[in-house]
Amino acid sequence: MTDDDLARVLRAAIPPVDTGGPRSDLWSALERRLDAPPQWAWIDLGLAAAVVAALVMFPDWISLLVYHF
Amino acid sequence: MAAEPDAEVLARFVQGEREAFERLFREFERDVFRWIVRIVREPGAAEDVLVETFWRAYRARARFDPSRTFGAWIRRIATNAALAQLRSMRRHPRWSDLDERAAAGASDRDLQEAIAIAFRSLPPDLLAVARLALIEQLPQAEIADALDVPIGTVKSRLFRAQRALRDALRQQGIQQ
Repeated sequence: MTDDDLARVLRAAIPPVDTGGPRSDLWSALERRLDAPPQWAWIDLGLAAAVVAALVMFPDWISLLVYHF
Repeated sequence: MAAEPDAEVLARFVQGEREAFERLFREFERDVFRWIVRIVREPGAAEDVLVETFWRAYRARARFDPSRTFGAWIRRIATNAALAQLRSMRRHPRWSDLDERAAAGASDRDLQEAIAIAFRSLPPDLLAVARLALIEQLPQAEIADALDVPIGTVKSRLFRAQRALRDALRQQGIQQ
């Protein structure tokens, strides 16, 4: 099967999707999302946990951090 | 894409003015939605991605470069959000079952099923390029711009997607 054959088979089997537009006004949903309080992501929590663990294991780093701040 | 908005509206958007942002949303939501549907191929999921896209745009407004077009910028954000949606759909097969197979009108049910399975086997990056290039027949340069990758990357992904689709169809006995 050539590339052209493949594209032809796919296009014949998959009609164009309906791209009319959103079914409802999504501005209010977007506003709710914008006004929602920020949430901690798992990566943020993971980083925070890693920092705490590092400071517990290497307490000398605390003085290093204090020096820089 | 909608006409490029006034520089003044864009400047107010960058400053975080909600009214200017709503104006941009109203101007671009239809075009952005249509772009997202072409990638995710499920209108309900595309609505979620549309909200996610504009939410990301608002959060990243300080990084918008007014010397570039808002249309191209929002399309890139939409493409990334759509790719994230494809990854989520891949993790939740309930949604991915809806894509190609749900498209009505194809005469051969077996072929339709085989193509749905073949598409489902593609990783999201390849799936998006395959849909945009093979189904929607968009120029590779336009796809590269939306994905923010060199055109060579689009060619490479398309090549890999075609090979994977051909193999998947062959495994299901579709030789053509």
